[in-house]
Amino acid sequence: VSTPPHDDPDAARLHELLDSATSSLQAGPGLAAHAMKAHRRRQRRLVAVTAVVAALALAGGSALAVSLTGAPHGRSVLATDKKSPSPGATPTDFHDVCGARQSDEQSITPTGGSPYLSTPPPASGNGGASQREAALRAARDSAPELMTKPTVLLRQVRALGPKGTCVTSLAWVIYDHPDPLSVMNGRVNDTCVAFVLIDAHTMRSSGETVACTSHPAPDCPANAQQLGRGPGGPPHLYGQLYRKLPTTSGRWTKLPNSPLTTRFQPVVVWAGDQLIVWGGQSGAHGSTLHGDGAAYDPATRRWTTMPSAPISPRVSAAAVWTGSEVVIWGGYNDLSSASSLHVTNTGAAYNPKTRTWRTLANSPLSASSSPGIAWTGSEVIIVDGQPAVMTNTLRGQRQAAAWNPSTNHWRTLPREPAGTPSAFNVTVAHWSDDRLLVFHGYGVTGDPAATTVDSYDPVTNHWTHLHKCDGAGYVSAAYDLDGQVLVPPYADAGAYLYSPQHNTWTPTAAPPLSTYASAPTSGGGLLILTGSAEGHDIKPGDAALWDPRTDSWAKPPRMPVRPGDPMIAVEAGASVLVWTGNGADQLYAFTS
Amino acid sequence: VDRAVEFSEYVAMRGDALVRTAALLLGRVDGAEDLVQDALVRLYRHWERVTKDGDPDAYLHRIMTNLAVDAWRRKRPVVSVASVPEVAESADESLAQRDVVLQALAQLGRRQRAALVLRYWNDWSVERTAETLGCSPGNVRALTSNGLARLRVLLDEEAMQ
Repeated sequence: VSTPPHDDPDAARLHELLDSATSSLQAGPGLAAHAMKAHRRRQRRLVAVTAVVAALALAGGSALAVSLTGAPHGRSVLATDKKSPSPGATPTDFHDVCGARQSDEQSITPTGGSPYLSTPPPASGNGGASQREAALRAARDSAPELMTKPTVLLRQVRALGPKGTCVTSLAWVIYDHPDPLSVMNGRVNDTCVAFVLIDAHTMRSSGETVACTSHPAPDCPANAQQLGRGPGGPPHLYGQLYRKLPTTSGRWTKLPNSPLTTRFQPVVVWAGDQLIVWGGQSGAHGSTLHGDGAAYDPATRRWTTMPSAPISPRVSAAAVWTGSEVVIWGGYNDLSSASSLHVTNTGAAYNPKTRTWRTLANSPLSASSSPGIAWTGSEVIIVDGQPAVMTNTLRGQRQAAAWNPSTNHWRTLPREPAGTPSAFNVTVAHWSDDRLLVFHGYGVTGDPAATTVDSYDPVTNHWTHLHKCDGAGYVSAAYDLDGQVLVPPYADAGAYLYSPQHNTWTPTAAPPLSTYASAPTSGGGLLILTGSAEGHDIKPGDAALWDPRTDSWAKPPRMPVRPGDPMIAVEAGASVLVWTGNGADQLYAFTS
Repeated sequence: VDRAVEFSEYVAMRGDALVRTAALLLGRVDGAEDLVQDALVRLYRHWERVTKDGDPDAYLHRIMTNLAVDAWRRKRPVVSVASVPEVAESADESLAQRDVVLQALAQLGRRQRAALVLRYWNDWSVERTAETLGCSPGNVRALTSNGLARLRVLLDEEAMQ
């Protein structure tokens, strides 16, 4: 990354001087621990903020929380289950960046006393010794905490090592928190207690009984690279200034407020000539679910209340526009308490022309939230989805079915092919020309390089596993762009063009903002908005517009959004509509 | 736990270098670790986001530079030391040299010092240095050029040869 100042004797000499002048300095012990403690103290002061995050996480996991709070939090997908087995010899479950799950191949048994390493594991000879030693130091530092909290309910082994490369070493992670919500909302990050590093190749470590086979997955190339790093990739966005971009024209218009009460994360779909907003959540901890909706017609600048839906109120449902109906399926339909999280496998279709609902036939799919959904032109395909509470053994569900609106019948699709990761927790489905593309990822806080792609051909009823472990970016959404798939940026992850024909990923010019909402524009471009209050001169509502012809970004006027307002953006004809969920300023239109 | 583990690992690997950089940015050893500590608290707060792009170093340097340039001063109690610890003989020479260099650095302007440290100690490009300092590349060139000239005088010609 650095560029040494070449052929400058003064510079070289100064480097030497500075080097020797500071060579005796060393960091004191506990530097990291002090920082983490200071952070925890600060966190405790932010009780209100934590409550909001917990509520959001309760309703749908990290992606939802990110979209609503404007800030990613901990690994909320790793919720433990109150019925988890007691400590002892239990099969563990992990995924590595290559997507291989090997729960049957590994077990770990604390052998009395402290289950933590007292000596480093055997070196694997792959150059990761210092990293392992550092990790071991961290493990030892935190071990005393666990000694006072013997309850161990969740275990996970995750990949360490550079993102985008195949796993080089694994960490044994032990959580001690019995409350699934604490895990879901990230508090477990503050109470996590210890881990033990395990050599990835031998899966052996001193002081533990571990048995496992070696990996990484054989089809993961040794030279795997993470796109988005280096000259062509996104910059290190965080904390940087809003780059000086050329300004571009554009106009924000505040549109009339809907008759709906304040809510977050409703279904927001552009239905050809009107915007449909339905469902969502609100209230303390987000536990109030809504089953009402309204339609906004830009032609009349009027909202119309939708008739009562034949399905339960819900949030984190999947929705798609078929050209005549908005199909809504799945989602959380009970968030009333931590012990009654419930997802559904019911759905309904709303026809905005006739203002009528119809119930979908019983689906063959397991109940889930946030599945992938796509309209093929004749069928609605729903794929994967997440269970009500994700555990370390239950995350994204591998399932797929197609609903035919003409017959109101479901067709069960074959399961996704071998090679599809088992531990994914984000699914985005996208209809591309004549086939379905399904992107699997690990969430914005997971490894962005772990996204994989499966393709489904409805003619042959056959899946193809396309892409694995070569450093694809994080996929939060997918849009058509001249035969390619435009993957918008999300948070600090960059934007990419994915070519289904060539199965390749190409990063766009680096997005200038940390992105919290995006939508394609009518000209084939992409509008991104930030909700982050961070940065020196970046404010919530700052926007950037990507031009596909020049692969460059320009700066349109800022959206007048308030800090903390969530944003959901959709393409709506020649405009982009942005729903904020806030009762006072719900809807804005951007016209370039 | 992931964040804590990754963060601890990062600090374990980079802590020494960060303290050295902090001392140079401040022009003194005293307070260097505190500067790093303050920056680490901010880094940890945003760890997931910062590491999404894999470079906490860039973020941390930006914080440390901003703090140092903004005349950062840690609020901490002053402890009077009854006796000065003895310094081993073998360390005398390097400590003396360290003091000379740091004292010279301390006489530079804060931005000038930061520009020199980022450019010549971190070996960063002019552009990256400019980005971190929040100024233009031309400004960085001016800062480093003038800073080097000033250091040459302060450290005497021989030291810079």
